[in-house]
Amino acid sequence: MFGWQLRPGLHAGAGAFNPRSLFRSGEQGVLYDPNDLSALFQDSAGTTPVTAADQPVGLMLDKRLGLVRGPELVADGGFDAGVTAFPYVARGTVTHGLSSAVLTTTSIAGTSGVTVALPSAPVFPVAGRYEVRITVSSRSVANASHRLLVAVSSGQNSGLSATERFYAPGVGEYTGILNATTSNTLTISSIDGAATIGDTFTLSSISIRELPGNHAFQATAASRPILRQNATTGAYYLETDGSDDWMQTNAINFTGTDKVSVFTGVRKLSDAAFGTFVELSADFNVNNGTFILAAPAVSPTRSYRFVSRGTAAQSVGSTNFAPAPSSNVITGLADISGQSVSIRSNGVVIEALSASLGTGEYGNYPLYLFRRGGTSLPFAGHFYGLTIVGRLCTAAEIRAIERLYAAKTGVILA
Amino acid sequence: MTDYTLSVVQLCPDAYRGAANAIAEASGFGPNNLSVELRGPGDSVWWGCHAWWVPSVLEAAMNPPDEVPGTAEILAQVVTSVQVGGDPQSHWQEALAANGLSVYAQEA
Repeated sequence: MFGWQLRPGLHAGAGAFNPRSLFRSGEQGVLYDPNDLSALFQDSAGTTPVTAADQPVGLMLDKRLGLVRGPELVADGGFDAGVTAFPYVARGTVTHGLSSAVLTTTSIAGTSGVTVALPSAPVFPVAGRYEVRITVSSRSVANASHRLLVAVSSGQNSGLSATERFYAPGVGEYTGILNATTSNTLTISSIDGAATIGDTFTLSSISIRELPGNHAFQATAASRPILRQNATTGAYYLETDGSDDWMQTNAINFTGTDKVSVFTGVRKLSDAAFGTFVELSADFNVNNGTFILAAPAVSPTRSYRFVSRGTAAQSVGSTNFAPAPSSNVITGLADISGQSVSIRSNGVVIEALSASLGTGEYGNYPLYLFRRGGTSLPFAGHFYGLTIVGRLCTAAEIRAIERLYAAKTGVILA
Repeated sequence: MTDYTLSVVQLCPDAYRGAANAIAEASGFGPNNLSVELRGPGDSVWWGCHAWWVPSVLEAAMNPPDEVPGTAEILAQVVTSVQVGGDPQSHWQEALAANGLSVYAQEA
């Protein structure tokens, strides 16, 4: 289910157009589609899928690369030849069973029992998200709450304090989508204050595969947007609370381009305060090679304002053309060397400016959604998806993707 | 019931923010839940958050794990407002007003 998703009530008015085609030449960017529940998880570790409206979203996968997993990174993750996958063992033993690894606690320390780890480095070849999957085929524990913690950690015995983690509380297959850097390793520890000498866990498989993309995540429960469904169009969207909801990506390397196209479907609920809808870097005011779409800008009120900056910022959207509440399909286009920036709403050019944006290319920064730098200027409204392409899209491409967002938001294009 | 139907606003004086966030993190809610800087009477500093909870989370919040010393005393300083459904922004504004608080001015 990796294509652009259409829900009942949505019309495939753009024919066979798939927004992934905008990235066919390897362009940098993002493709977020809250209408595809397979790309949404309730937690940032990707352990709990979003299955329906009214659930929080802690991880939104970037579909630009098709969600194709990379090659298997664990040698003999099925333990056919032995238990060499785990060169590090603490507080226990690892023995080779029938195509399995048997972890046995031989001592306890604090709350933890046996810990095993993959090699110290390099487990993760590049910084990014990895799908980590383990299968616990049996367990024998004195206390039922004794469970396994799977963690991306900075050292072979530091998994207990890691933030990128998930639990395997019983027999079964467990999957997480964890953030890692090249200096990290993966640890599996038995914990929970219930470790007892002699407890065993039998693993029949372990797998690590990269999940390429610029995925957006939120580790803090209170700051996660919630999935809702438009009763008219049937489309799913993220609702932000306008106070503390936001998401971010790892740094996205846009340094290969000085052009960008930004497309979204949005419902803006308030014009009372500046709202950060999407911003490259923690603050475009102080970082070169950045852009921001504000919804709205204030003093005076400007409905949607798109700003791009090489070494000098230029902005468009200087009027209150869509007072809140308002649903809009917004497009922002910018070209640093071409000295142009423009904003479109519902298929119409609102403002196009020819002026110097300075020099250089776009930068290598995290992308922030719904809140500046994750700390201020929250957006209050509905998010129907976001496509950012590291080039100027053609007129036909612009029209096609605006149609897609119009169908989701219920907007009629001009 | 797995739907997040409860709109929850929590407000906390600055002196208790770190400890309250530590309790939330120890309970599995991630770091820095109280993240919105507020101002109260006498220019006092408060922090707030809005979240959607399932009813079971509300029950758990009333009985948090005692991993952080003095948990009960810390949580006694946290103002919690709960509504069933509704508009989160309206709830947020009403809770701030009821406690004499406003969002700390932020420059765009």
